[in-house]
Amino acid sequence: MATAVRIEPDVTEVPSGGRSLEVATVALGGVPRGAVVLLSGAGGLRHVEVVDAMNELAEHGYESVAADLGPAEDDDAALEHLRTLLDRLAARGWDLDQIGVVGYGSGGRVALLAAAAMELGAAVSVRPVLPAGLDARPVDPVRTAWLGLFGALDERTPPGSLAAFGAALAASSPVFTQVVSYPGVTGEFVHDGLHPLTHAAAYDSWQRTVEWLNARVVPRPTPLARAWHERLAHRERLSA
Amino acid sequence: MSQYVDDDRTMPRFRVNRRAMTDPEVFEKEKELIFNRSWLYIGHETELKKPNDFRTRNVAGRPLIFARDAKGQIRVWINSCPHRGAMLCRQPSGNARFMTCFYHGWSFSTAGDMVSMPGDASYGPDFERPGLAGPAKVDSYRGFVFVSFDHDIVDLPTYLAGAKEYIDLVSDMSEVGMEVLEGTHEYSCRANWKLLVENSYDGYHAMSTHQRYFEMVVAARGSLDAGAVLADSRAIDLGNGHAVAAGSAGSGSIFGRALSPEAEAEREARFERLRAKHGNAWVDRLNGSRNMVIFPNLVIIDLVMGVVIRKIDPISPDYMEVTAWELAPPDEGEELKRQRLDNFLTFWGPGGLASPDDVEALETCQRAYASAGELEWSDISRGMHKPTVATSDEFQMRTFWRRWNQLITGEELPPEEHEPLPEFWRAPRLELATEESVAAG
Ligand code: FES
Ligand SMILES: [Fe+2]
Repeated sequence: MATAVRIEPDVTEVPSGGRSLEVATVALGGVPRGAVVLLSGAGGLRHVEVVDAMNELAEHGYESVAADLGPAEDDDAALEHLRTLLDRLAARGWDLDQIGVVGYGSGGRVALLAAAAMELGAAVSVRPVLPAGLDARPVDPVRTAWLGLFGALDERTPPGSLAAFGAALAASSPVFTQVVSYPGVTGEFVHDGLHPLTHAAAYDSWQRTVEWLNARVVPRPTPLARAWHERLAHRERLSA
Repeated sequence: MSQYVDDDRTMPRFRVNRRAMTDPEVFEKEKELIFNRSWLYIGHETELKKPNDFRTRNVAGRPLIFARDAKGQIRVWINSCPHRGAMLCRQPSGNARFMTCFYHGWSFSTAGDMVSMPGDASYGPDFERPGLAGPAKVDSYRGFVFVSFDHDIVDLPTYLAGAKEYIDLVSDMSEVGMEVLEGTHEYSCRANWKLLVENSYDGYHAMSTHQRYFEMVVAARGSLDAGAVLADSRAIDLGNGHAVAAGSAGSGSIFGRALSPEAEAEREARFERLRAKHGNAWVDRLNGSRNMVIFPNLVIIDLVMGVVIRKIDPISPDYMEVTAWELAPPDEGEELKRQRLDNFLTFWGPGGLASPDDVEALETCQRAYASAGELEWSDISRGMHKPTVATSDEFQMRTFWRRWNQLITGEELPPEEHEPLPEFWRAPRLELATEESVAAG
């Protein structure tokens, strides 16, 4: 996580869902590749880790907005906060398919809800806090390609129910989904650590997160790319 | 007379010159005159379940990307970056809406459009951004996807000719559509690719080469009465070099370990529903075995207990690579599926009780062709003089070789005359109104 330049995000208080939400923003110059909403919450990243992640995303060309949703609220309230963050990105010209949502802990649960509710570029949930009785209730299909990363020793998501959840989600969803379970670690792997399995899970989960975004988030076209698309469209109109 | 095929109708005798299996010049001609001018199998639609699923495949030496785009359409792309050539996609399978070349970072969608190139300001404003290249043609028949590198080739249904009916028989095994199971058998064989073509519908070798397999079946079942069903079978010319060795009703039942009564009942119930849908005679045919080669290199073997799709890739005159998939009804119960998998694996594949024996046979043929100076010809005459030809005859291979000979040498040989097929092998697929469709309609 060594970056030559460390960007400190702008932090502002934004009204959201009847309360005030602290939103961190890393805006980039030039033509950024895409945008990411980073959600943390119970069981999620610490503040410094959120800033690290925003910096890493910037290295890959992504602007980002981040919020710690705090102790889990109900689903509707959490989605309300997500919309607040998406609005911030929309104001900077980002379309939904140019945005990835990455959530940790209870924020991971919101990323999964978002994937079911809307068509985003991509969604990733890292050790998401999922409802109890995971396999007992029908799983809502997702409309955004969703990646779930779990610690195999996480008591809230035992491997058996996790596999059933992954299979049910894949069967019901019209888009690609994937569940990865890291052996020998609890959900604490999100904080990285010295234990080889913990470090391996942390390293791999970040690698997968970035690749998941790169393979799916629609890149913002450069001015030249836009001009090229207009030329193509014009040619098509002529030939039609 | 062609230097490769000696088709003597008076004796009668049919021989193939072994140089066809060893000569590098023949191999080059095959690339140009056969593989560049045929419809070639790339994969099955069910291997791409979700939008942006992809698989990488080799067809006629070309590295290809077999993908479903974001809108769900099947696409095939050359797996080479239009920039300076690097392989765009370096995984056997996966899911990605955008594929980014690792060399300089150009990025493309599964629909083949260029989506970004790093530092594009270094290209002029009129620069034409290249998309991905594809084969000349892509089309599918009942989920079987084919490509052709020939812009002038006939359309796929015309090319498939009589083989369509046998793809129908295989595909009708399930009411919801057959599905390729995850996982492949990939193996190689130090022999010319045409030897595996011959072997794939060679009924003559079954009892001798596969004694080991049939001993296992007999031991598992207590007895095996194959005589009756084997007595009645046909080798059939399907046009354009395609042919099938088709068993009679019930011939499927001589392969594999016996099903459990529950699994048997489940399968019978499905066949009953199919009878209502497509007619008794069609389902009787469906219940027979069929070994088909779609010219030049696609094999579909349906022994009812299991179906294998086999793609044969010539690598050099004396070396081929083989990829095989299992096609199965997705709606089968757990027990029937388990027995189907068991029957498939005990017969086919590198660990089966049959495929390794075939590979051994073909490899010894190829090694022995070193003596082609002393022993120039192989004989493929079996059944030539008979009014009807059975699966244990060699009519199906002669059909292949006549087409091969025509494409390589230009020599046209007249088709072999045999009695017309009996009713059983001509029964059509009916579209009957079932109770459900009547209720729905
Ligand atoms: S070869 Fe692919 S970007 Fe250069
Ligand atoms: Fe065999």
